Parts: sequence; C-alpha cells; structure tokens
Amino acid sequence: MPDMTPLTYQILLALADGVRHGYGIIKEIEGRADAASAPSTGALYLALQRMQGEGLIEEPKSRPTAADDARRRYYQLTKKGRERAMEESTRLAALVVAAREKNLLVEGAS
Amino acid sequence: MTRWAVQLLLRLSPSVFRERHAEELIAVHDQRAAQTRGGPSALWFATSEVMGAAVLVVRLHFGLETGITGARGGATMWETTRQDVRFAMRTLGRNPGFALVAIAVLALGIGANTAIFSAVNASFFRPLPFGDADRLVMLFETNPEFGWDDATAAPANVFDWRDQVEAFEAVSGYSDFSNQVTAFRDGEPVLLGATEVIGNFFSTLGVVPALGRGFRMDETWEGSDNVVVISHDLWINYFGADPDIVGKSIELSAGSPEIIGVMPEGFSYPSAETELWTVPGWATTDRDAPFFRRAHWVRAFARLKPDVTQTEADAQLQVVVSRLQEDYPQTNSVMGAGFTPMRNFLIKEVRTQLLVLLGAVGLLLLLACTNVANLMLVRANDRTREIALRHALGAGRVRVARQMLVESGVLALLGGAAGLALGWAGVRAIAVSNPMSIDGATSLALDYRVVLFTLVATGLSGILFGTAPALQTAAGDIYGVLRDGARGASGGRRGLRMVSALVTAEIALALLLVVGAGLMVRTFWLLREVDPGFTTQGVLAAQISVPSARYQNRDQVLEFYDGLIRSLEGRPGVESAGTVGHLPLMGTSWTSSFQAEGWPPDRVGVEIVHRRADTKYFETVETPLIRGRLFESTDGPEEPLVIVVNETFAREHFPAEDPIGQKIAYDQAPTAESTWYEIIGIVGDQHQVTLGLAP
Repeated sequence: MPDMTPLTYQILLALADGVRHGYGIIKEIEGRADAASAPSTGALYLALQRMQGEGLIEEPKSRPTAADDARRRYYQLTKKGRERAMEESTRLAALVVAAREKNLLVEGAS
Repeated sequence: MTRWAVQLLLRLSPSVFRERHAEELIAVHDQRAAQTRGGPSALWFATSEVMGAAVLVVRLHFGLETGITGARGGATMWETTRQDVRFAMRTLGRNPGFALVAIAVLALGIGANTAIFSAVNASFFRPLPFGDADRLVMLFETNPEFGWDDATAAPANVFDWRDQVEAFEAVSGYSDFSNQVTAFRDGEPVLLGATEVIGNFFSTLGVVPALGRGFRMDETWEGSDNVVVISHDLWINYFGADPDIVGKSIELSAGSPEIIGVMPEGFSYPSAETELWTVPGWATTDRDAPFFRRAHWVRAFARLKPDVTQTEADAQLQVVVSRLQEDYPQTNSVMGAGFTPMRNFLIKEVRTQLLVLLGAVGLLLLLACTNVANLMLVRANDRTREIALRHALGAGRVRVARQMLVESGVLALLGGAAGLALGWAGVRAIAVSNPMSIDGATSLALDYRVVLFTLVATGLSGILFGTAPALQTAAGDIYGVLRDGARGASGGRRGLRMVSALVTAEIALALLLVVGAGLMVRTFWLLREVDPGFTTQGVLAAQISVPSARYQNRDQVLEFYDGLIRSLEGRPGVESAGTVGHLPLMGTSWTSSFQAEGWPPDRVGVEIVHRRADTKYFETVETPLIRGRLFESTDGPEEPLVIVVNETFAREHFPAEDPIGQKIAYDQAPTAESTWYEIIGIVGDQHQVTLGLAP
C-alpha cells in the first residue's frame, strides 16, 4: 500500500473525534502547527474530494445542527478511514520509538 | 486580488468538482483571509492559496487526483507519465524522419536563443568585477555647444569634483586612450597594453590586488610615479607566476618602474587589453595649468557614500559645476557634468544591439515552433484513425490529448538538449571572436541563468507547438472517423483550418525576419559604398610609440621618424612611407575649437578633429590634394607653422574667403601667446571617426 500523504493523515486525524466541516478541519490542522504550514484551501478541498472517492471519509446523513449554514458540507471518517488512520499512526509511532532509541528525540522537548 | 484569482481558477475546474465544492471553498478562503495578519504572512497566504487553486485545477483535469490507495483503479500519476513518455518515444521512433527534422528545427531555434541570451546574461546580469558596484557611478562632462553628453573630463575638473562634492566617497579616473608600452624580456621587445590611472583607481573601484598593493594617491604625481601594477595574466605569462614579483622591476622602454602589485585573475578594467596599470606622473604644477582644465581626456568615476542617493549627489555636483563655470569662464563657461550608474555606462553600447538580436532569435524560435506544430498537425491528421481507435477502447479525450502533449514535451526536451549543445558551441564562437566587444566576453559561460533560460524556452516551445495538435485530437469527431473508416472528415477540415492559420502566422514571421535582415544588409552595403577618402589597398599600417624618456626633445623624435621613413623607403617593394599621429577610423583623438586671424571674438569653429602628419602621409594613403600644397621637408617645427585642411573644413568655416593663407589658432579667444598655424593646402575628405559620420 502506497504511503499516505501528510495532508491525508492530518485530515484523518482532525476527523478522528467527530464530524467537522472544511473550515473546522483547517482550524484543527492550524492549531497543531503554525499557519504557514497549513494547507491552502484548494489543496484541502482537492484532498477531501479524493479521500471521499477513496472511501476514507463520507458526509454524515444527519447534519449536526439544523440552524447551520446550508452550504456547508460536513465530513466524518468511514470505517476504512479509521482503519487506515490507525495503521498510519502505528507506523508513525514505530518511527518515533526508533528515533528515541537513536537519541533523535529528547524527552520533554516539544 | 487573491480571491479573484482563486475564483477564476475554480471556474476552470471540472464541473463535477465546481458544483460540489467551489462555493464553500471560496467561503472558507474568505474566512481564512479575514484572519490573516498583514505583512509577510499575508503574502505567503496569498501565494499559497493561488498556487493551491492552480494545482487543484491541473490535477483534477489530468486525472492525477488518484491518491494513496489508487481507488480509481488506475495508475498513479508517475506511472501514467512514464507510460506516456515510453509510448511517445516509440511513436517518434517509428517515424525517425519526422522526429529528426522536428528536433533539428527546434535545436536551431533554441540554440540561437541560448547563445544570444548568454551574451545578454554576461553584460546585463553578471556582477561587475568591482566591490559594492551599486555605489559606483561614471562621471562625464557635458557641453551642449559641442554636442557632448558623455565626454571624458579635464583632470583639473575631476580633482575639483573629488575635493568639493561631499556625496562622493572617492573620485578617480583613467586616461581614456589606448596606450601601449614596449617591455623588454631578455632583450626582445614585447608590446603591452597599458592604462594610465589616478592613484586611487583600485581603491575607488573596491578591488584589492591579489599580491602586493595598489597605487597610493600621492603616486599620481611626478617624483613618486616610478611604480606599476600588473594583471594576473601578465604575471602568469610574462613572469612565470613568480611569487616574489612584488618589489622587482619591469624593464620598459621608458624606464624600469617597480612592480608593486598583481591584480586578481580576470581583472582587466578598463579594457580587455589592459595588462599594465601606470600612473600619469603629472607635475604638481600641472594642477593649475590651463591645459589641465582645457583638455578632456580623463574618464572619471566616483563611489557614492553609502546612504547618499543619486539625486542628492547630482544636486551637489551641479553646485560645484556652476562654481567652476564662474571661476574658470575661459574653459568651463558651457561645461556641465553628470553621471550614470557604472553598469549602465558599461553596457550602453551593446544594449540595443543585443536586445535587437534577442528579439530576432526569439522570432526565429517562434518560427521553429510554428513549423513543428505544422508537422505535428499533419501527422495528427494521419493518425486520426489510431486516435479514434484509442478513444473507442476507452481512453478519455483528456487522456489522449495529454498523450499528444507528452509527445510534444519529449520532442521539446530532445530539441532543447540539442539546442543547449548548439548554444554552447555558439557561446564559444562569440567568446573567441567577440563581435560586439562585450566586456568580459572571454569569460562567457553557460551559467545557471542561461540553462534556466533554455529550459523555459524549451518548455514554452513545447506548449506552443503542442497545444494545437492536442486540442485538435481532443475535439475530433471519433465516431464519424470510425464509421467512415477513411481519413477523418470533420476532424480533417478542422485540422486543415489550423494548418492554414499556422502557415499564415509562419509567413508573417518569416517576412518580418526577412525585412529585418534585408535592412541590415542594405545598411552594410551603403557603408561599403562610402568612399573613406583614403586607400587601404596595398597599404600596411603599424603602430609605434616613441617613449619620451629615450627621446627627450623634438629633434631626437624627428630624427627617429626621418630615419624610420628613410629605411622603409629604401626597402624593395615599398613605394612610399609616411606617418600620422592617428590613423583614420581608429577612434577619435584630439579635437579643438579654433579661431582664425581677424575673426570677431564671437566667431569660433568648434570641435574640429586634428592630426599631425608628415610629408608623405597623404601620398601614401592616396588622399588627393585639391589645391595649394602638401607639407614639405622644409616645413619644420619652427615658424611659420603650417596645416592642411580638408574640403569640408574649407567649405564650412571659410565659405566666402579662400582658406589658403588664413591663419588659425586652437583657442576660443586667442591671446598673444597663442600659436598660429597657416593653412597651406586643401585635401580630399577622410572619414576620421566612423564611416557613418561626416568627415
């Protein structure tokens, strides 16, 4: 299975704890890094479109609140998306362990 | 602005995506834009948003959005491209004649552009060989009466600018005429190119010698002037890279000055011929002598102080200029001054020529592209059946168009590679012959800018000649073609329309080039037809310099020339021999204003070119005597002094009188000390400066 792009993983991560719309996903990604490394809006929607096609994410059947802006599309993880996110997390965690063993990661540093 | 660009790009996205996401995407973009602070982060945001939208459109259109799992069941972008390239190579290989012709045409176009661009690159973009060159300006004198706008300056004025203009950190200069000195190596004479510079020449330019030191200001003057600085080339070739060279002396015909420094490799300012820098050794009394302000031969430059603008410096310079005009009315009454950035001055002469050439080769490349596009269109017509079949087998229109584009890309890349090789050969040719005397042309090289330029030219050509065939295949009526089983009906007509449009464009471009080339040939022809006023047939010329250290007075110099001429004439095969101070068409030399005896004070002739010649000069170059007589051996340095004038001089300055017998002095306002010359003869015109200018 080919590698997952960082953006794909970031989106999966953002949706891991619930339903979000596009802007919410961006805010979540920006919150974890500085604004300069956040994806462009175009890149985000390109990824959303693609991930939907791949069956990693889907639009929920019911909208969170009725009073919300009707134009907004909401996304949530599919079962497959959650599996892929877990696989990727395991892979990354293994890398982190390896990095720690080779003294590339100092405890306590952020 | 950013929003507008993103919106425009989204409008180009496939409708499936647009209907679903466009509106929301813009809304999110607006929200993010509202939260971006100003400054660099806003710029970064704007750039990344526009880039992101552009990437989105391209990827959606070319079906590249298949991502991690290959859910579209197809190949990844990489694989598709590799497939396309392999297929393109096979198709081209099946038709090697077409491929070769296309590549050759492209290589010619791209190669010509590469070569000319490398020349442009060398003179426009390369850093000047000076320290902090942005603060260097070239100073010049202006004189509306003489039509001067970038003239060399009188040394006295240069020193006054240096002392009085606060904005200049330093002012220096060099004597602007080619100078050669004879050096002796093991008794054998060698001619070396030399430039006479003011003591602070190197320090003002911000260049530090590789060995030893540069001149000091006090070495400008007589008494401490027995020093020279040599070029890196001279150090290698003449002194065998002697590491202890500094402090040794070089044996010149005019003495044995001490070598105090060796300049860094590649430094030969002001001219490529400069191998030796000397100081003028002016007498300190010269500083106040009239000739020091009357004669203009110093090419001056200045270094601006770090935080001074050019406008401020110019304002200060003009104050000094007006003061000099008042203080020295005899010489400076109409003398102005100005400056221009060093780079502008250095590239001024080649700038237009280079840009015209670049335009011409640009047209050539366009022509090459239309040619190749034509070839490809014709071929695409032949391939309609193949393409229709591929459509029928399930290839999307976009996929097929993309295949055509990849084919063009492969062709363009091959052409570009061959063009780069051709361009390199062209660059070597330019470097060796240096037809436009570009400074630093010998170090012309294909640096990253040239390669980048070639890449861009290649990419643009690929797009230019690839678009038409790609569009045509994408739009072809495949069902019609397959049903008819014959050559494409509607696709063919469409193709023909495109071919004829291309042919029209091609003819227009070719016509433009032919007219341009024709004009150039015609100009050249007209210049050839100009009678220079002297003969070059069977005439040999040699340049000699008579060092003042060895020939100290006029009699010794005259004796030397007499001996030279006599021995030359004594040789078999020599019909006649003569000497002249400056050969025609070898650049300007001395010019003066003059007044004739008996003229009212306000009548002066300006800017006449004069030269010294001997008795046999006119005879030797076959310039006819119109009236009067030529110099004779009895005309010596004693009174009466005599001169010969040309026809134009006689016509312009003595329209009513007979010039023969008139006396003139090279002064605007002659005094008792002025030297008077009697006109004894009129000769035919010689073109002195260039063939295009009046004699």
